[in-house]
Amino acid sequence: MQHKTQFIVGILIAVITAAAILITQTNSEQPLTNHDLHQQLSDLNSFAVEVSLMLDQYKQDKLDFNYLKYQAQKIDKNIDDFYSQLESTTVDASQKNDLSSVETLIFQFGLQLKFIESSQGDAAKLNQIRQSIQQLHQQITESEQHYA
Amino acid sequence: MRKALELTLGVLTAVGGFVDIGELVFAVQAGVKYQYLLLWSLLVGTIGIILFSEMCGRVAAVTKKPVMDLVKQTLPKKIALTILIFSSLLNGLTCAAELGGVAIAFQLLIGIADTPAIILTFVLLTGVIWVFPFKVIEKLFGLCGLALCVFIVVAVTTRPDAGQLASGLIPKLPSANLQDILIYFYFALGLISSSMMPYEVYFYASGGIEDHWTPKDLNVNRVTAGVGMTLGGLLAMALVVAASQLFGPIGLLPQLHGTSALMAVIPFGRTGLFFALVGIIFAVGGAAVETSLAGAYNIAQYFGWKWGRYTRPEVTPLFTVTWLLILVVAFVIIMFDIDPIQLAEYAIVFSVVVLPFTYYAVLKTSSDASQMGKHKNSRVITILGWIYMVIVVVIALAAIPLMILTNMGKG
Repeated sequence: MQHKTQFIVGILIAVITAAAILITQTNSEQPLTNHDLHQQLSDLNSFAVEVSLMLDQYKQDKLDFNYLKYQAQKIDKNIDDFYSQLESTTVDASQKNDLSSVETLIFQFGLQLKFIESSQGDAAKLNQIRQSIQQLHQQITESEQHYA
Repeated sequence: MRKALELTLGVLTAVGGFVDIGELVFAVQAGVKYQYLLLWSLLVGTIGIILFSEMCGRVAAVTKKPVMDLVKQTLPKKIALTILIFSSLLNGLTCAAELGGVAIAFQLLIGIADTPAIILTFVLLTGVIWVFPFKVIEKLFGLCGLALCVFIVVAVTTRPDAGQLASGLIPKLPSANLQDILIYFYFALGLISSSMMPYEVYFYASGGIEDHWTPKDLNVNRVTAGVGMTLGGLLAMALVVAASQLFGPIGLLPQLHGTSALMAVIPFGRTGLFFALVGIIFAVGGAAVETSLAGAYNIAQYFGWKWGRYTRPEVTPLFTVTWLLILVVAFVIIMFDIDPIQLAEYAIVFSVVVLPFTYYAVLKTSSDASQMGKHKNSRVITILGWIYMVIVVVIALAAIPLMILTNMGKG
C-alpha cells in the first residue's frame, strides 16, 4: 500500500510538472504573429543595447576583454536560439518577408558577436564592430516599432 | 568581532537565497520594467523570511528538530512524503541552476571555456563541502558573498529619488492593460517567493543545529535571522534600484545573469566588475551549497539517518552520499547545456507549491506550548505568521496559472 501511494504521488508530481512545462512550451510554438516578431525584436534590441554598452565601457578601459568575449558568446548563443525558434515557426506566405527581414537582422547581429569573440581585444576592430552594432541597433529599433 | 562572525549563517542563507542566479535576472528585470513599483514585494518577502527563519531557528534551538522533522510530525504521512519528494527534486534543479550560474561567473572573471568552467565549479564546490566543516563553509560563503554589497554602493551612487523609493514600498498597480497587470503580478509573485524559497528555512534550521544552538542562543538566532535576511533584502532592492537607474533609461532588459555585473562597471570600472563577479560566485555558489545540503538534510532527517557537516564525511555516510549525489545530478543536468536561468525560474515557481506546507509545519510547532514551553510564539508573531500563511497560500494557488498565462513573464 505504502509503495503504491509513493508511486502514485511520484507519477502525479511528474505529470503536473511536465504538463506545466508543455503548456508553456506549446505557447511559444503557436503560428507566428506580429506580437511574436515584436517580442523577438525587443529581446534583440535589448541585447544590442547591452553589447553597445559593453563596447563603450571597453573603449573607456573600464571592462576586461574576458567579460566582453564570454558575455558576447552567451548572447550569441541566445541569438542562435531566436534564429532556430523562428526557423521552426509555422508561417503563411504573406509572413515570409517579415520573417526573413527579422532573420537577417538576427544573422547580422550574430555575425558581429562572432567578430567580437575573434577580435582578441583589438581596439580598432572592436571600434568598427561598435559602429556596426550601433547601425544594427537603429534598424532593429525601426523594425521593432513596425511590429509594435 | 566574534559575535559579528556568528551572524554568517544568516548572511549565507540570505545572500544565497535572495541573490541567487534567478534573482540576479528577475530583480534586475523588475527594476527595468517597473522602476521602483515592485520594491514592496521584496519588503513583503524580507519580512516573511525573517519571521519564519526566526521561528524555525528558535524551534531548532529549543527542540533540536529541523524543519523536515516538523513537516513529518505535523502533516499526514503521505503529504510529508510528497513534500520530501517535491522539495528534493526542486533542490536538485535549483542546485543545477546555481552551479551553472557560478560556472558562467567564473568564465566572465577568468576567461575559461564552458566545460572547464562547469568542471572547475563542480570540483570546487564538492571539495569545499567535503573538506570544510559547516562553520567554515558558512563563514567562507557568507563573508565573501558580501562583495555583492558593491550593488548597494552602486544603487546609492545613482542618487535615487527618496520619495519614489518610499512610494515603491507601498503596493500599487501600474496603469496598463490586463496582460501587463498579470505580468506585474507574475514578477511580484516571483520576487516574494524567491525571497522565501523553502530551501532557505530547511538550510537555516539545520544550520542552527549544526552550530549546536541551544535556548541560550535565541538572541543569536533573532539577530542572525533579522540582520542576515535584512541584508539579503537590501541587496535585492539595490539590484532593482540600480537596474532602474542605469539600465532603464537605455532600454536594457537583461536576459543573462552576467549582465547585472555591468551595473557595477558603469560607476567603478574593473574594480566594480571584480567585486560584482566575486560576489556572484560566492552568493550563487552559496546557494548551490545551500540547496545540495538542504536536499541531503531533508532526506537524511526524513529517514532518520545521521546527518551534519560538523563532523567528518565518513561519519555520516548516507548523508554524504546524498549531497554528493545531488551535486553530481546538478552537474550532469548543467552539462546538457540547459539554460540555468530558465531552470531557476521553473524551480522558483514550482517551489511556491511547497511553501504553505513547509511554513504551516513551522508555524504550528513554534506556536505549540507543549513543545516550545516559554519559548513559544508570542501572540503578535502568531498573528503575523497566519497573515503570511494566507499570503503564501494565495501565491501557491496563483503561481502556475500566472506562469502559463504570462508565458513566464514574457507576455
